[in-house]
Amino acid sequence: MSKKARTSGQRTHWQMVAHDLKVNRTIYLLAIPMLVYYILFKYVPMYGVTLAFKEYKFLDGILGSPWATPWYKYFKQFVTGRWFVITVKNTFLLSLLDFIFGFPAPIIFALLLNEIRSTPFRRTVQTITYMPHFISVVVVCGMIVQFCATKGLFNSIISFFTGREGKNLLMQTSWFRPVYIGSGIWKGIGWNSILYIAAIHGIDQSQYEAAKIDGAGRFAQALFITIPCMAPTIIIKLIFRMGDMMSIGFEKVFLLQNDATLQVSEVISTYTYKTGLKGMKYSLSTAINLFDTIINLALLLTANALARKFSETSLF
Amino acid sequence: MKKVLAMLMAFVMVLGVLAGCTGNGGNSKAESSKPAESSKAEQSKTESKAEASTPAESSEPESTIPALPFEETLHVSVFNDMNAKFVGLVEDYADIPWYKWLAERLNVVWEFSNIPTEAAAEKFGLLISSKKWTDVIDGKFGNYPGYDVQAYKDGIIEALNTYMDEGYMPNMLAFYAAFPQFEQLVRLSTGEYLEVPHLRIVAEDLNSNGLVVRKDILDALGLPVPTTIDEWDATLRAVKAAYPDIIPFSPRDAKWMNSNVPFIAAWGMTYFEYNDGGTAKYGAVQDEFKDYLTLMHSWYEDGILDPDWLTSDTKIITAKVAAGQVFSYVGAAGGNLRNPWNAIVTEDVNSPVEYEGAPVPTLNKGETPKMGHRDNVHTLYGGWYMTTQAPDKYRLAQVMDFLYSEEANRTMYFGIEGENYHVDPDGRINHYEIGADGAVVDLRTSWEPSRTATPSAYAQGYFVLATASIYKDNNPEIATPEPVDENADELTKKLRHIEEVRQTALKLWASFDPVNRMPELVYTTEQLETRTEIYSEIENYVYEQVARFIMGDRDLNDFDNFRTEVYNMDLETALSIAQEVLDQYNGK
Amino acid sequence: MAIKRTRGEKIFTVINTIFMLFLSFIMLYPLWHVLVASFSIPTRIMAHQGALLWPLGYSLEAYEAVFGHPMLFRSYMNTIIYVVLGSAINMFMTILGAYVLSRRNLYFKKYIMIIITITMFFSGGMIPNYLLVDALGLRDTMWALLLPGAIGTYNMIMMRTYFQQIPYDLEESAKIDGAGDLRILVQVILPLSAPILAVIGLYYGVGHWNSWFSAMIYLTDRTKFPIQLILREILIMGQFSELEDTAASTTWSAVEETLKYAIIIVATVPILCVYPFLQKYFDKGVLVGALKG
Repeated sequence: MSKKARTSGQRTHWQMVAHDLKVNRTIYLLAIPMLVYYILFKYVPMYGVTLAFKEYKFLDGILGSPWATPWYKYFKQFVTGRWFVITVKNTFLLSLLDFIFGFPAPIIFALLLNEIRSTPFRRTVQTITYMPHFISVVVVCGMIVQFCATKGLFNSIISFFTGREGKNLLMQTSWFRPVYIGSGIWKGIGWNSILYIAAIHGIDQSQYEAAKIDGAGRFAQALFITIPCMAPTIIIKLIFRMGDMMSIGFEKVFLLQNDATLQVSEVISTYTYKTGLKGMKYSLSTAINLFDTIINLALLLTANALARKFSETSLF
Repeated sequence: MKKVLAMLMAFVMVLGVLAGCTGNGGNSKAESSKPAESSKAEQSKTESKAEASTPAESSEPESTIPALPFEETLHVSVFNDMNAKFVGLVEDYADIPWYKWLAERLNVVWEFSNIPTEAAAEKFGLLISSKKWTDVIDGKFGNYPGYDVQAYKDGIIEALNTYMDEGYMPNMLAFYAAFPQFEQLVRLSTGEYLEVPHLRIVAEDLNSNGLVVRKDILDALGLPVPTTIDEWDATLRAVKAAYPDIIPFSPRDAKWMNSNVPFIAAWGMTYFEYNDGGTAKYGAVQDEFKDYLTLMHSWYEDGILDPDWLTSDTKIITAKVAAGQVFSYVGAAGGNLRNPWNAIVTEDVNSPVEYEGAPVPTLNKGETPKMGHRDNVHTLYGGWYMTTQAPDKYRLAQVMDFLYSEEANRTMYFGIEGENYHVDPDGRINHYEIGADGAVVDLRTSWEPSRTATPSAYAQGYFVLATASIYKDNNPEIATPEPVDENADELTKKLRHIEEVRQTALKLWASFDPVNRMPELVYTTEQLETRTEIYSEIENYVYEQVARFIMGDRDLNDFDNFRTEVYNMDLETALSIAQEVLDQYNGK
Repeated sequence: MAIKRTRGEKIFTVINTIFMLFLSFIMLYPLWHVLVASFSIPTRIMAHQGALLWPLGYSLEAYEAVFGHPMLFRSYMNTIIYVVLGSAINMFMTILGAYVLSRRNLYFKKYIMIIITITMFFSGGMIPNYLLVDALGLRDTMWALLLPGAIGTYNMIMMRTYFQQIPYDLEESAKIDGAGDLRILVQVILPLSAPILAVIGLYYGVGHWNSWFSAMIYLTDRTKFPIQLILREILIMGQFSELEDTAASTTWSAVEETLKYAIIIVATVPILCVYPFLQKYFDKGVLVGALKG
């Protein structure tokens, strides 16, 4: 129901705004806590972003510190580093692979889980599958290292099928990504499916009734009802995922990498850590973060634009 | 006689006060207590206890320097992080016996910040940014851009020279006079002293890692503990042949192969900078390095080197050692020599497994190794720094200085009389008590039974122990031998034996002549920054390529290219800086 | 036709079930390993490699070490407070925000969305945030942990998406009955949103449960420490035996080996207890149709 249709004659821009404020005044009132929060806790500290362009002097504070000469000094330092291309490439590839394999997995899992008729069985499986999320990454990586050892579990399985003796998986560049991605799926599939399961359970059951009457089988039901109803959730999650492309967490990669696999396993976060750029080189690390952020933002906006074009859901 | 003396001293004191007040514009430096009333006797006792009194003191009116303990309590706030040793035992450093003793002795109230170690770097940054500093900052300036020198220029740290010159820090002066080689490490080229440093001056304190072998296997094969590279090669191969399921050599992880120089030391170098008779050189680009890589590569190919060597870490090695799967490895003094062996004997007290430390290998038999594992004496940027915001700097300087006094060091090492030791009739210090049932009690564990409890263990870091460490060995003051509990069970005896092996190993690992070791040079901030930048790139690259050479992913014939690549990363610049400072050090 | 479908469905059910069992097994095994190891004798775990099916020996050493920490129960209490209070604040703020963003015909909606999304990417960093919290006088208080993170933008947008999907005619009919925006929220939107509320509530709750970094930065008063911080401390404590190289210790404990496992159990079990209660909320199907008319 479009409010514009009700007007008789044209309203000026300001009249429209006034009208909106009047009609939606409760809404705007309700919006105040949220806006106050964002302004206070997000925008007030945001001057910290300027660190990337400044020579940080502790005693002058961020605002008082002089501008870096030239302003792109720290960006240049990062971009002309020896490992720049490799780390950016590895970060991006690892993230992309994780997206291709890791993003659909919880969705498919949610769908399959939904097909389990027995409620106790379904709930048990659900509870079990979200447990790995709570095991700390340090412990998980410890187990992975053990399993990938020359005589470890994975190699035992591989030798069983191929008859060949295995070599330590984590010392081979070809295995690093599969192990990283696979363990990521293992850890996250249950937890990440919660949102999708909730979405599925929010679907109007009467639609299924109607479909069954029309003779649709389970597969058709899933295809034509469940998935479309999940679509908004999936699309929003996808857009967000695009906005996370350059953010590969430090800890897991650091624990799984070693000198033999650096060509594929060295990512931006581990590289900055190793070359001692942690600690108090705030300007440089802020610059690097900004670099990542801009790429992430560009990807997110692209995804959002595509979503607007091809679907009804989008971020904005 | 005493009475006359006392009167005399009181008279001198009053004179001194008058002189001080009217003299040099009333040395109003101390917003602190009026020292006039404090007993002269106490003060001179403190001063004579110092290792040597500086001439400056005797000519100054001594009464302006407050005596310890202070009349008025001094509050000292310290920014520190909780050392792992104390986590769970104390919540506040002020509860540690040593600091309690200090508090009483000096009339000081401590205010520690007790930051969890993992938050230390962040909290330090926040502390500085917030511009509200504690009186003392313990270490951490390695993280500050430009290090402590810059912090001094920026007005965060106070230089200690004033206090040293004016007689408030007699112990430090005495120490530096006695040990000029250590003074060199602390004093800036521009002459300032910025910290009361953490120093470890006894060689054994600096070495904690080295090679460990399975003695029982050697005995079974009739072989001696290997000392040269060739012997190692032969021994390892023999072990492999006789015990196919045991890993001949399992390094803790790749970086340890360098920092603990198990085999590379035989060529008198490390992967990185070393000192060849006064010339600064870089290990990874030497011809001999190729020999080393060739050897390692053949070990990898022939299964001598643990196939999982790049993914190993302490836990994994410890597990393997405890399971008896490893013949030789790089042991750490505490962790993976003693612990897994303890685990083995706890399970089976009659286990035949026996470990022993092996010396640093050499190329030729009978040579003394010229390189080995050794930490630096001076923990860079470790130490207590006085901030410019401390309200009572002169007295604070005295407090900091007291940490270097003989009295403090003795207490740190031996403990508190009555609590941690008693004095035998012959005047020796005895840490043990024999209970009625013959059981031997180590009084050093009196504070916390499950941990070693000497106050020294509880003092953070390594405050000098200059005198303290010297007490460690052959100390006539300590009652020897340690009493043995006749009724001890097998397990306790075994554990004692393990401890003895460990102590022997530590000595063995420290027994090399560090001629080739790059001495602890003091660089300027600019030099340091350049070197750090260059070397962090090179080092990561070297580690990576070493891994590839050893695994055969890169052909050893390609070594010359590797060498060129390293040179292209600006090696010469960093090396020439080292050479320059090395020459200065050698007095050229 | 009917027979084919049933058989196909049957095969599918069987395969699906097997797949679920397989998944459960590979997920369960590591947790089982952790549980079993936590009750084992540390020295034997130290030497053990590979799979673990049953405790090696029986020892409560690890749990003794954990529960022996003086701050353990206190920090448990603290965390419960933070979780309950924190999540309440979170949900309040998030629901309001999501509701606002889900309204149609809001002139400024797009601008608000942009303002919000920007904050997901650009943030001031640790120092400005710390200075702000300090300036507000919140340092070393519970509020430093609960207020700066009051809204998780991601969560709020997820909730918004869900709200947007509630059929508009329900709203319309309520409006016809004279309901204002606030009543619509309470009487129409929220009752139908049980699944998303449960999920987001779970996310926030778990987030508070797991958090330690803010506490580490902002809290100096130990009596306010949350459990994760204490557990990390205990872990460090256990690792001390690695580093010690001072005088001989006649008693020595390998408890570190099993300690890390006990810590996981202690940290995870409470959540496992809570989850089943929430589960029924997002398991329940919502029969919107029944509410119509």
